[in-house]
Amino acid sequence: MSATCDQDADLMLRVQKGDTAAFEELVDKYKQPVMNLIYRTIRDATEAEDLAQQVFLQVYKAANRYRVSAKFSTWLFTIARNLCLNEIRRRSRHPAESLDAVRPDSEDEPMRQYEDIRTFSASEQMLQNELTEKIQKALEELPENQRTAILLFREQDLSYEEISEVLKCSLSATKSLMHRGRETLKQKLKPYLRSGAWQKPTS
Amino acid sequence: MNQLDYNKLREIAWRQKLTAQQEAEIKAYLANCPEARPDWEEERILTQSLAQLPDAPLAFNFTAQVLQAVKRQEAEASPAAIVKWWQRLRSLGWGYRSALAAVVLGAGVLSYQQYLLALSREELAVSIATVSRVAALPRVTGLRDFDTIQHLDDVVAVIDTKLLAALQ
Repeated sequence: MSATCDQDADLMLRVQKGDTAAFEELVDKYKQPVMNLIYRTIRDATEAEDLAQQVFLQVYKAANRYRVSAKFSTWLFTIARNLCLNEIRRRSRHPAESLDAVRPDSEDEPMRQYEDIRTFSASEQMLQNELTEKIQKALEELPENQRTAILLFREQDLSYEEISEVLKCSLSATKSLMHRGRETLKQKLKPYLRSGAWQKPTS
Repeated sequence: MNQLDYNKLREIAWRQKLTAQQEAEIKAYLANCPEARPDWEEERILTQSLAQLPDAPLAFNFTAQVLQAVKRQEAEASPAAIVKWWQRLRSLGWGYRSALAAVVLGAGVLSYQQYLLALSREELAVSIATVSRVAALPRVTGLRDFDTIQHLDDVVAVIDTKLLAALQ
């Protein structure tokens, strides 16, 4: 078990004893990865934040059920994914557009949170925003399990085995999901990937 | 390096920067298989693009909100909350209180009836089980000559004694 894993397990053991400072530490550490996964799954900033909050509430409530044998992040992302799936099911039953939804093309898109040490010129920034939007849209169009596999692989230091645990499928199925997802992304983004427009801007 | 090794390195590159040696291996492979170059380039740029995706927007006080929500939930489940409910109940008017009492009483009667029903069903099941056990016994007609057959040995013994005496 890695040091990070041990640290998370220690924190969870403290949470089990009612230590809110330990819980706060876990929330601080995982809030952004959890939010990224949820936001890229349901594409609504307000609802994503509510769901992320629910994820951590569930972690706190179910802390006694946590066993050190399980990696904390695997457990956490399983909860996050289950809540996302519930939300997707709820939306399919009540297909109403949220009034609070922040659409990707709206003016106050999450770019305000984009922390990047590189500096872009205005045109580079525009291109970067456009390309980011394209890839987000392509991700959005992927089947849920392919998208989650790719995001978990990107977001967290989760192994294939751990991702397969979150997705509740076999290791080979997980690898296949990753491959198929990436192939679809490459197909959809081919014009951009081929043109080299997406090359990392020089600092 | 063969296709299999190339695929392995491609997967490694999805997550981490390749070492100088791995880069050299890829370079050599692409020099031998130029048709794989476009795929490699696409893979590389896609990986880079995914890594560059901006973080989702998150309220600056997200952690504080979560902790508040936890406190709220704990407060709702605490004894103080029960006291609060009791006080709220006491503040209700007579009409509401009577209605509430009637509902509680009704629910009690209903559950008692359900209990009696379950009890009678249980007794019925026991009776059926007993009857099925009795049904498994041999028929009465089959046992009609049971006593005669049972005493047949004694009768034969008596006759034999008389026969022996006569023969002597």
